[in-house]
Amino acid sequence: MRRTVPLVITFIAGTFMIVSFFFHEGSIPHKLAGRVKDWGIIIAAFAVVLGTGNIIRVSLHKARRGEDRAYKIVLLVCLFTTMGLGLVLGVDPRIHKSWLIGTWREGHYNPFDWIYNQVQLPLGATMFSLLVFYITSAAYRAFRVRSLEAGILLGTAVLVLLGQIPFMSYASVGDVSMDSIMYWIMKVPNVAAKRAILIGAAMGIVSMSLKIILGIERSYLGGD
Amino acid sequence: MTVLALTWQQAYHDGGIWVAAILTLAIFSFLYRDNPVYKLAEHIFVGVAAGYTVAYAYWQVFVPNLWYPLHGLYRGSYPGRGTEEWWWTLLLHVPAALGLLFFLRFSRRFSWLSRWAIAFLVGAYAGVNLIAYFQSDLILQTKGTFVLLDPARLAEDGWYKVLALNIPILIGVLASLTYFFFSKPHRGVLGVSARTGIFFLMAAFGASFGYTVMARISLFIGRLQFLSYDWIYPLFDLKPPLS
Repeated sequence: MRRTVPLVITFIAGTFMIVSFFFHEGSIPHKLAGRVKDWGIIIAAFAVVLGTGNIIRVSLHKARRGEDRAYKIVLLVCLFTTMGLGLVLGVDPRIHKSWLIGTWREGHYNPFDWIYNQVQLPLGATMFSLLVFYITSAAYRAFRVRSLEAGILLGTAVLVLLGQIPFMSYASVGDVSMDSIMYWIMKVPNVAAKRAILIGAAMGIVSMSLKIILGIERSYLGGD
Repeated sequence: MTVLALTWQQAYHDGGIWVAAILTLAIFSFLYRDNPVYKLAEHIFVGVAAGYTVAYAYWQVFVPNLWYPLHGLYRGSYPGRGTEEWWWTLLLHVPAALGLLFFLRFSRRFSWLSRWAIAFLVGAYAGVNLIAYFQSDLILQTKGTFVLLDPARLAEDGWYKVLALNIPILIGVLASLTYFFFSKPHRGVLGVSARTGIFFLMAAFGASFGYTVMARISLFIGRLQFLSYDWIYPLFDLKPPLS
């Protein structure tokens, strides 16, 4: 019961989605498959709430034990403030009505938007921009030209980096412009290798999907 | 009243700039070393991002896809009873029930029931992915590799394009695929092909690296522009260069 029912659900859901592909547009199986895809988004939204609940649980547990207590309290305050404001005011006041405030018109100050624009966006962008320092220092250590392969890696990386600089479009190697070199690198070796990776990954996904549907791969069900 | 409104407007705007600038500097402080200011900013980020995701999921997923239709169904206002849309709306109880099953993970006795929701999600998307990836990444990418065998495309593209682009791409794809073929040792023809594949793969990785670095640099420049143009210059009443 504990393992068989989930395996049966997986088999039926997976097989139905495959079979529905062979039905014509407008048929009931085709429409149901479309609805099932929408259901997936709804169920995933429940999972988001569950994940956030888990963050709250873990943070409370750590705060109680005195492990990074101040930071965990800040995290929880920020989480509840943002979530509360978002739920009460709506994420887009131009479209949604809030059950507490009523209709918000465009141009009104929304604290939820403020948190998003002045806290979340700058923090996210700065976090990702930090990576430029680490990626460069890692490249400095890793990009030693010890072999032909390493030389090709370094060469293309440098050419692509230089090619992104606006004034480099005026530069050329002999008669060949930098733009043409960049174009060829991105269109030929890059496309060829990425395509091979995509084809390989697709084969892996197809075989893994089959293993899941047929119940051979069961790790997603967890232990016991 | 106007003065008060202006003050509020200014506080809303200027306060926001100050908060964003301080948080930006707090994250950059990690470049020196891990420190409490960075850790504080990091926890703020996690809290805000989690809260935002829940609010977004509620307003963009629950309300339009689940709450409004079911609310209308129970009130009898939407859609007309017995119509096709009514039946589809009635079926929305299935994802609602499966979604609620997720929360049984917190129960020791019934946590196994939460697997039903996971099983449905994994099974349905395994089926979707099997078809989607087979079509797009396997069939279409293979078709795209062999365009030079299509006489119509050949006439349209011309020999120059075929020699400079299509043939090297075909060689590159086949060579790169042989590198990922592990059922036979890479010796002889297979070895030469696999080694050629490594060259193509290295060039692609180099190009990806270059693009990634440039994307991060542009983000970094964006943050510096924000600090200088939006925070420092107005603060000291300076005129930004190139303005």
